[in-house]
Amino acid sequence: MTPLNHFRFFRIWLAVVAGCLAVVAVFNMLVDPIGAFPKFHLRSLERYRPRVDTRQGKAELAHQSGWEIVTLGSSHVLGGLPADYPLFRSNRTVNLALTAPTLVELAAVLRTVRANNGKPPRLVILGLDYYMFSEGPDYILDFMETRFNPKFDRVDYYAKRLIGHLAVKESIKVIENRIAGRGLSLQDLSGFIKYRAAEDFSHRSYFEQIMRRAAPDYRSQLSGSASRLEVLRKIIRDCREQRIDLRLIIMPVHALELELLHACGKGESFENFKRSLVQLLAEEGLEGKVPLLDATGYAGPSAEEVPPADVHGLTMKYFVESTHATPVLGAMVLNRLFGTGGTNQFGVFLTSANIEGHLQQEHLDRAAYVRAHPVDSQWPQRIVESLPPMKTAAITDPAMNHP
Amino acid sequence: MLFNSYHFILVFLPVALAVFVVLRSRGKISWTFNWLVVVSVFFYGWGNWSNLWMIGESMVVNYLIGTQLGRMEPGSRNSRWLMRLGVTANLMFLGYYKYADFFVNNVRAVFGCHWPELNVILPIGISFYTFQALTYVVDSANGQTRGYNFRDFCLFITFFPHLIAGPIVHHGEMMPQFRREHRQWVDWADVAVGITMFVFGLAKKVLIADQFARWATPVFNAAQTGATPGFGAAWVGVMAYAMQVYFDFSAYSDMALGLARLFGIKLPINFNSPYKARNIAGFWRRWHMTLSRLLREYLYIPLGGNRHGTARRYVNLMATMLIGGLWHGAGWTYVIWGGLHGVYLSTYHAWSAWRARRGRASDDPRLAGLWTGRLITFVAVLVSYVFFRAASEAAAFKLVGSMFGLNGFSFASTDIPLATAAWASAAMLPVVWFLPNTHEMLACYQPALEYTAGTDKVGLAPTPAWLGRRLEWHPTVGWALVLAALMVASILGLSRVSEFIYWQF
Repeated sequence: MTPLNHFRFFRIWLAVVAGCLAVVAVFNMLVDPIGAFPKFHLRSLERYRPRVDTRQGKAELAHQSGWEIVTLGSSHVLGGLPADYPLFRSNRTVNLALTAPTLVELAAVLRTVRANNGKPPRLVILGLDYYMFSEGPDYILDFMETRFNPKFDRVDYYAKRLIGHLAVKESIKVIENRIAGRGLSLQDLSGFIKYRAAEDFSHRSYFEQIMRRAAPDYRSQLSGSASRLEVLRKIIRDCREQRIDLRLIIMPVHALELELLHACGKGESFENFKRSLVQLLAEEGLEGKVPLLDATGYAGPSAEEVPPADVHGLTMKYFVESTHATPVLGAMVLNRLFGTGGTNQFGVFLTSANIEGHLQQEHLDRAAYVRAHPVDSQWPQRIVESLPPMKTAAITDPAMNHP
Repeated sequence: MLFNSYHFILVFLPVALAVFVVLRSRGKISWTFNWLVVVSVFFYGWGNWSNLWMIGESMVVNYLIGTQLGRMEPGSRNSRWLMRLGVTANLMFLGYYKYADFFVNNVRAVFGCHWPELNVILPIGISFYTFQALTYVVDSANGQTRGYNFRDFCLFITFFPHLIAGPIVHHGEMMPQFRREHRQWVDWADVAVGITMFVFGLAKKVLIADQFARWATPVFNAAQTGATPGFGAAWVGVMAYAMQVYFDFSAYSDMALGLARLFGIKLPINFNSPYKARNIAGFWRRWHMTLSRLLREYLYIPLGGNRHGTARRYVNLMATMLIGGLWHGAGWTYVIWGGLHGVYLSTYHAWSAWRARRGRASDDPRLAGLWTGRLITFVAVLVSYVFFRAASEAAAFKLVGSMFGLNGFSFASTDIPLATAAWASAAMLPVVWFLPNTHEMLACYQPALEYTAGTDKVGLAPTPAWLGRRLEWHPTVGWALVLAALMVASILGLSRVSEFIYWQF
């Protein structure tokens, strides 16, 4: 090929790059899979836009107005509550749970909803877990890069939404949905996810994988933090001021997860965490008014048998792995929370009056679990013993360690 | 600001280049360099403006010391004292910010005392600009730096293409470029060559290195969390890392040289197909070449080099490589990595000397010898990468144990798709062994300063004959389209922050 003048070469290169990127940007803006460009996107694609499990997607969802019921929490809430629960069967329910959030992030999510919703939501279900009460950075992962952060980086954010390959993939998915006529249900559009597993998925190996991945952090980072409790206190007070019906759930985990906490030396600290929540509600004079449902334990669904490693597929009824419950268990927890579903309920409401008795019962249940599962109950301990020695001592806030 | 970020590519670079082109085309030569200082300072300060104080103090102090040294008689008593003061100040500066916590942790571990950690935040690029300033002070004492003005010195230190992760430039190769009589128009050949190198680098980073990172990282993370990777997973993970670090550093070097060239400045070559090396000495002449040059000229040779006998030579070599390892990071894994390379180099030199005594030249091996050497070098480098990448010594030894079969010979892995990662890594071997690199493809446009330090002048081999002239770059429509396609694909792939490996040093 004949060499060109260098300036001409540069102009051709620039024109092709600019042209291609412009086409991609216009495509993504029109299809707009997460609703980042509501003024420009095609309204006809509304029913085909899946609410993807990203913080960006959730932030855009939170910026819409008119939500009546908001579920908040971690991945336990994201995939562990049933989208088809009778109370949620409205297009005014939104699941704004995030993967691995801090409590400060959840407070910011709620602030975003309140600021954009027109009027406060009627009901907020906040799924708590112990991990979001650990000391650490207030904002993690890509939270600050989303519209939950009022000072988010606009250049980076909108460039990704316009010319990022993930945005292109999401846009193509929307077009595929449109072509195949796969209109999504209102619940699916509202931020709930469904667990899917590969063909060779094995519960037992996934339990192992998740516990092994979590154990180093549990051992070194997991701690009750008084400052995080204050964040929860602020959430509770804000909801109270705005007359929002707030309900708290300590989300269910498998008994082996609790054994992992004990193996990491955090069993007592976890109990103190529950005491702290009860005490907080008592201090605010909200016992009974803001229900606190404990869905953890060693009995019933929490003690579900883990199938052998050679059993493949999602065969467990209540759990995917050690920390994540299925919507089946989620429905039982919601039944208990709202007093529905007859006997198909799970969880204990905690109050100052019953907390010590409840914890005593858990000790008994634990002993029974260990007796009934002599091999599996040692599993978390073996994982912890295989870890390399810890370099730094765990940071534990003394304020969380009740006498 | 990362080279591979939207801010840099869509905002910073177009603005910086557009103003530069306007100033240059209007004949404002001095202003073009002032502008480069401004954008370089902005580039460095972006994200953490407090870092500017540190680099500012470093520049002012070093410039004053260098200027004062330039006024003194080289070799005089006062000159030697002032040089020692300057060198000590730079080493203390680097020592505090980079090694203070490492020191405290080791003292705590050895003596059991309870010194609190300082939690010093490492200013980005400190290792690079401190070493550049240090060479300037040393050369000033030798009378080699007279007449530099402060603007040029600032640009020498802060010029954004090399500021964060090199190449580690020498004042002798940069200052003349800031002074030379420039034409009063934009040289579009520089822009075309610069764009080409930048796009090649960006594509290597986004399309190749970051993909291999997805396979390497889980294996190293698993070892860190206490899991024992199987034989297959260990080898594939380390192979994937070898490809990641190769393309990551190659990408950074291409982008740095390309960016500098956009502004009419040539930087020294820093990366020259190191896996083509047929021995470990050759590897170090091709890998991070400007660091090798600096270590040799300002450490190995002042220590005595090979001038004081064989034993002393090996001691000097080990000391240089251990310090080179520690330069990369404050951790024992880096020290072990440097030590391993010291052992490799010593072994190679001992082997060469043994062969020389028997009258066998090592410079011109037969094909079998060449490939044996290349494979041994590659495997040795692979083993050393385990320490370079691992987050702790325990994780590194666990991985090395798995690589040598101490933990069985399992080919199963739950962390990565083993077969895919293995095939991808293997598919890259012909690329790194046979294909010409960017410098070779652009050889007729002299993309880099010729590497002239010492006796290790690097001759850039022409494009291999069997590829003919197909891969030689020329400003044709075909290359414009290929580069545009690579640019678009790379920009589409910028969906997550992915720092260059060498930015952490």
